[in-house]
Amino acid sequence: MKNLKIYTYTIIRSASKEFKDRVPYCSAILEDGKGTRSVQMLEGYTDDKKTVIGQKLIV
Amino acid sequence: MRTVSVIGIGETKMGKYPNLSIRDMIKEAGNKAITDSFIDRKEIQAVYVGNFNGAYFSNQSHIGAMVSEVLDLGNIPTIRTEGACASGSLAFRQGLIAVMCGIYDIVLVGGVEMMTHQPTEVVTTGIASAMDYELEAMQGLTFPANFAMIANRYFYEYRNVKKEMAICAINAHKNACLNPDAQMQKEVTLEKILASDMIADPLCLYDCSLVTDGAAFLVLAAGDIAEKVCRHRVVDIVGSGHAGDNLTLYTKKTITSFAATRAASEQAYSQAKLTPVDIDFAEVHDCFTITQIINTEDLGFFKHGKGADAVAEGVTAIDGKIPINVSGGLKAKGHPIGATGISQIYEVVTQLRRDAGMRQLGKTDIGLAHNIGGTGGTALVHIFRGR
Repeated sequence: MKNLKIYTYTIIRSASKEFKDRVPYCSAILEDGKGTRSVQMLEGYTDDKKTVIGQKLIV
Repeated sequence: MRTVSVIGIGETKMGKYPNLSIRDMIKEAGNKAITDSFIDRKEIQAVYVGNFNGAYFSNQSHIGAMVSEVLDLGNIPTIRTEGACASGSLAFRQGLIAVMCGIYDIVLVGGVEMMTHQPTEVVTTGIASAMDYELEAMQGLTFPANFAMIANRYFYEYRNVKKEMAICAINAHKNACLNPDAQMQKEVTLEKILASDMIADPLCLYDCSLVTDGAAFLVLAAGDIAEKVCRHRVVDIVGSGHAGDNLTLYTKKTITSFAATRAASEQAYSQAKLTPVDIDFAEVHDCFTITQIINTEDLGFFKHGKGADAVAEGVTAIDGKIPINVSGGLKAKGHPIGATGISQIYEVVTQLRRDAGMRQLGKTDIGLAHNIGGTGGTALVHIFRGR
């Protein structure tokens, strides 16, 4: 996939059993140039990083 | 198709009951509904009961047979319905269709869920099974996270409505203080809401509905029978809509409006020969405060992107033009998942009967109940009219 952009996102601070040790983390819906969307947990989130809708992702 | 009416209602107080079982909840709410209907329980011909995840939360399935046993209903057919948070409304609609078509004359519909005995992460995991486990939950998503992503997108497409979301919570808590069956009978201030813990940005603790134990039941009867036996104002079901959508959020065409709600409401309005302006009050699915705002737009009460303005102007408050969730809603009355849809209808019928005590609205002739499952994969809308 190329030209991935953040369609929407959230920072999760209260997680399910499997992910509770990883909070806070960022999960997002990504959209490629053709409008196809997918869900992905974005690696390396920290609270000092700014995340915005429309932001391009370096893959 | 014949008219179907609600002739009996019963519910538990919503709350946290570590010493009660699913059986206890069914017994209390079911018996209340039967007593309220003034019929003999032997006249009930079938049971439809909503339960979301008893198998996970309480190691209990086969709730239909449990209802029959607990309420001493004999060998009548029973069935459990599941559609996540819309499980209760699904039970209601199946019972409604059966009576409407003449298969049965009198049925019992209900819902039950016990959740509070589990720790938060277990509840979160259990609820997350209502999304796609592999594609969504295993990417770290939770239900608050999905609705947080909806909120962020809504802020992007329209404007930031964080303050109006808080007002939804303030109104819900205020209304719940007037409802003896509500779980959260405590007012909350804007400052406290905005300072509360973040669950999934931008949703904080007070943007989320409650984890609740509860049950609610209703007796439905053919309209002509209702006329004879009902000792309350007869409440007719004049519109019923049920629609669906993709399970996953990210594949939905738009995530700031639910296509299933729009389709279900069109069906219900068309059957009832009514439009949104005819509705006196509504119980809408406020699993999160942003959801309430979006739902009131999808139901046609306000234009898309304008639901928050209506909240800020007081239009949805108990003394507003179209009061929303006078019961306290999922946010403050409570959200016992499988029972929620029935509990919403309980409130609509109570208001139409003018039995709502301190929270009784002025004109209540036509009320609407709206219930969604998951992130809008299932939606039901019912419209009720008092005779």
